[in-house]
Amino acid sequence: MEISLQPARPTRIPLTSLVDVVFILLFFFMLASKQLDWRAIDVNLGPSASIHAVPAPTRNRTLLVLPSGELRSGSRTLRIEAFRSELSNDTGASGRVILVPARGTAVQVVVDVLDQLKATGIEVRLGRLGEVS
Amino acid sequence: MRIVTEPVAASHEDHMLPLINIVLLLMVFFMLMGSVSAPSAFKTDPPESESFQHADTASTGLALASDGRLAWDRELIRMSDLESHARIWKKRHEGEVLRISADAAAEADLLLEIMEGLRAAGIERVNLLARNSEDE
Repeated sequence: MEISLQPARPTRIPLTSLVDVVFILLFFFMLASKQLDWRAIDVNLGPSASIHAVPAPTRNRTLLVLPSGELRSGSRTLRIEAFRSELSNDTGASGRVILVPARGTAVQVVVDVLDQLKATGIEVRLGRLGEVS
Repeated sequence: MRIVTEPVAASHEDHMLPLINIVLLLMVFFMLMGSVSAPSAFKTDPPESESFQHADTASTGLALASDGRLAWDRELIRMSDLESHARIWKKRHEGEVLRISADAAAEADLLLEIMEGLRAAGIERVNLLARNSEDE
C-alpha cells in the first residue's frame, strides 16, 4: 500500500509588497529625520532673570560683546581668553557678568562667549544696549 | 508500506529574507536615532555650542531668520504680533518651555528684544536651540 502525502500548502505572506512598503518607509525616515545632536541653552526670563533689570555696573562686570567676538569693558578691548584668565586671577570678583551684544553682533558670537564663560562657572546675564548706561 | 512525501518547493521570495531583515533594521535605526519635526516657515541654521545640555528633539515654537524674519511654528509673524502669539502659546502649553531656533547669523540684540516680548507675555523660561559643534 502506498500513501502519498501531499504537503500542506503553507500560507505565505507576499514579501514583495512588504519590501516595497519597508523601502518607502526607510527612505522617508532617512530623508525626513534629523540626526543632529541638539543642545538647549536654558534662558531664564523671569523676574530675577537675565535680560532685564541690569543692576548697577559698579557691582557687576558689564561687557560689550563686539561683532568680532572681542569683549569691551570700559575703554579696554580684550579677547575672551584674556578675560577668562583675568577672571581666574581675580579672586575678589563679584561672580556676575552681564553680556551686552553690540549692534551687529551675531547670535553665534554671543553663544561662543557663553560657551567660554560657562566653563568658568560664573553667573552670566544678558542685557541690551539701551538698558546699560 | 511506503509513505511518499513531496518536498515543499522553496519560494523565490525566501532569498529576500536577509535583505528585508537588514532594511527593517535600518528603518528602526533611523526611526529611533533621528527626529522628525514639521518644517518651519524658513530654514534656520542654529548656532554651534559644545557645553550646553542635550535637547531631546529639534521641535521649535519660535524661529528667527538671519534677516530678522520671525515665525511661530510655521506661520510668519511680525514683531508687533509676538506678544499676542506668546500669550496664546502660554495658555495652551502651561508648564512647558518654549524653544527658540535662532539663526547663527541673526542679530543677538534682536533675539534679546524677542525675549523681552516673551517675558512681557508672561513666559519665564525659554530654550535657545544650538547644534553640537562636534557634529560638523
